[in-house]
Amino acid sequence: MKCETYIFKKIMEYSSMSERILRSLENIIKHDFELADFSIVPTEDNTKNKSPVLYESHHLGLESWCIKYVYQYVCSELFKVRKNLAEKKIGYLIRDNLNYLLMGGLLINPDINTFWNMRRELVESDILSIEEELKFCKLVLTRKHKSNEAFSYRRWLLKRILEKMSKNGIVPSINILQNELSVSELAATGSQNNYHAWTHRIWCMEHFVPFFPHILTQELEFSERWISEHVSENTGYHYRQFLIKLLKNQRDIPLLMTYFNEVITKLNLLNDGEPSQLLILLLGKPLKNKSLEDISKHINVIVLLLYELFVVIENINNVYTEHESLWLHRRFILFSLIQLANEYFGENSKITKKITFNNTTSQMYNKNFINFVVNDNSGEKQAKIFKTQPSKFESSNLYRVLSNCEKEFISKNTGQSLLQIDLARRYEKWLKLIVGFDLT
Amino acid sequence: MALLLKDIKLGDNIVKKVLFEKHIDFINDYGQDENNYDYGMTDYLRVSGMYWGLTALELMNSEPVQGKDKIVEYIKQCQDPQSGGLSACIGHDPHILHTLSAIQILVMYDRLAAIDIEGVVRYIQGLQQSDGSFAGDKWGEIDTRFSFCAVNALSLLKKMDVIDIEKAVEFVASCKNFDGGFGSRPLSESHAGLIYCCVGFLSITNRLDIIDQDTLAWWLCERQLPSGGLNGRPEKLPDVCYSWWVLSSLAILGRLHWIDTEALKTFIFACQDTETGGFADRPGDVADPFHTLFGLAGLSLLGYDSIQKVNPTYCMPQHVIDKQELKPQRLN
Repeated sequence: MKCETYIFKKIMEYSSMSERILRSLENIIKHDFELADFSIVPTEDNTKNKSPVLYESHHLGLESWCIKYVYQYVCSELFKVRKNLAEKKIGYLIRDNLNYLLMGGLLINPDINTFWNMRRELVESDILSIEEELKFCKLVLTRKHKSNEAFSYRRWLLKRILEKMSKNGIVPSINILQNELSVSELAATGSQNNYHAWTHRIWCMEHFVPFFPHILTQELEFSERWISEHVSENTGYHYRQFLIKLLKNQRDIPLLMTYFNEVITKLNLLNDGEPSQLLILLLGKPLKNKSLEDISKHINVIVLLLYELFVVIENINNVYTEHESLWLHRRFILFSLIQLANEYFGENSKITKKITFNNTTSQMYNKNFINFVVNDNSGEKQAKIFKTQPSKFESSNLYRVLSNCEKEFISKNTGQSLLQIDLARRYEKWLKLIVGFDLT
Repeated sequence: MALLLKDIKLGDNIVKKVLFEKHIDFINDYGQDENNYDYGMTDYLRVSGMYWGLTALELMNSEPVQGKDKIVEYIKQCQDPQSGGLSACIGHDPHILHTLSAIQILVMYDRLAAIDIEGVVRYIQGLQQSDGSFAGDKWGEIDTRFSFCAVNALSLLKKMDVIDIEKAVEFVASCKNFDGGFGSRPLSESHAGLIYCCVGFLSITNRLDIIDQDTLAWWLCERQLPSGGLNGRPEKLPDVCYSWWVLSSLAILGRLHWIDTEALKTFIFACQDTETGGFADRPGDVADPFHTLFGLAGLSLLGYDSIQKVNPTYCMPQHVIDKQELKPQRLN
């Protein structure tokens, strides 16, 4: 009996302590408009006997010793009302008083889907505002950069904004997009190769670019800077690939002059004609049934792809060798150039190659297939390549430019470290055996 | 010369066999203490956690100490009577991820009758969108993982006809990238976990023709690092769970023999915790049921004798899939 009374007293003590902590957190979050971040600070125990809420120059923290009690309290309180909230059978006094519990719960454990859903219900009944929610959600992401639940909640909020605006015929403000771009950059900076942060950025661009097409050029500059500073992050290169694809569908973007001039210089050409002359020089006269407008939509993309090949990748590779991600990015550029050429010629966008891999097993070699498949036409053949008629692409100037450029790039990189040689060889094999672009 | 490659170095004393007894104890002891705080922190994935642990036990020819009845009873209480979906834990919101895990456990135990199956079918059907994709729950987040969960669960329930398969395939196909891989939605980066979901999805729907077999197999092979382990994306560290996702995808594509299987086996062996039991993501890290299942499943695909044969599409014992008379597509 005595023991039970003790436990009961303890629980009451922890409950009121948790209440105080949660209210204090809520109070700071509500009133500090410049709150920078939230973190949980590891501490052994409550030795100092003072509040575990740490707050200094817009940084909010919580000492780890109290997490267990606060979290258990939050769970017990919230799951008491979960069902009634969903069924809207809850008194408004309680309903209006859930935010501080949800805030504490999600700051501690942002993976709890159910708590985010409760917030969604409170947004639907106008208890929580979308603006405040975006702010709180960002705070969660300052601690957990990879929280898919938090990003998913953001998208849900953004969709609500977009739907509301489209209903009222209003164009959304660019600040909304700018804010998302900065949140995604914050999360991407916090965690390398952050899939969720970049997926979110892609989602936002897709949904907002129709309103602000010029943002694309700004993003191209941002991403060039980003990949130059994060040379080993495949996610960053992927985002750039996404932007290039996005550019392909944007007809309203004027000629990207800076890139165009760089490409002209690299190709040793005189800049004295119509920009579309570049296309004709590289790919020949367009098909008869194509108008000038039809072909000029290709100009920005081809310029950007060549700029990437001649300038961006070149610069990064000169300083940082041995990065698989950079080589894979180069694969994308080559693949896209060939695809674009085929589109220009109105040929099947699939590159024509006929390769069959013989059914050799790597166990025989005790090696990975990529390493043992040979790249020349002599000796053992694990891959059979059937010669086909040269395509229009293969007879074009672009083909000659790319062929020379790739040969030079590969040979330049095969005099280096073992890893760089391996990456160069793998690149060559991929071009030949997967794309059918034979440099040998 | 320093090798900048992101990889790990394996130690010298790798136990080259599966420590069955230790792993069985590890799974049975894992998270049994309901008053434990950590137990509360992982509530949000408990039913999926049960699927990992219980499937690991099945693959090791063992049974849970708490008995199957107790497990089935728990799952029953996770079903939301209104929507028909199942949640990760009693009182939490239903989600397609946990709905699939629950179905997998019940099929494995031949106890589907314990829950309202019509409700589950209605729930999954209701999550399909007009573009063929699937939402994870009623709040509408889209992901190729959810497409896989949907067809995986419905095929186990023999109810594939309630959804628009053609549209669903169209959506997954739209997530394919130039490197042959797939991401979480159209235009997302290729990722081994999501590739497994999309390849698995196409294997169940009998539409592997959509895949560029050699292009994808090439990318998957390039995930193997000198340590023998596989990573899930370029320039990331090797990990036992990615080893499974890459390996099972290669198995479905008929290209399992393209990687150095002996080196991978050694890597997976090295991820066992020889003291506590269980497998970790990498040698020396803390073991958990998630990596334990994928370590065992990987070794099973690599032909380790005393582990039950695993089905690469479903990540369930092959005999269970055979009993359901399911024949997910595989390429030669």
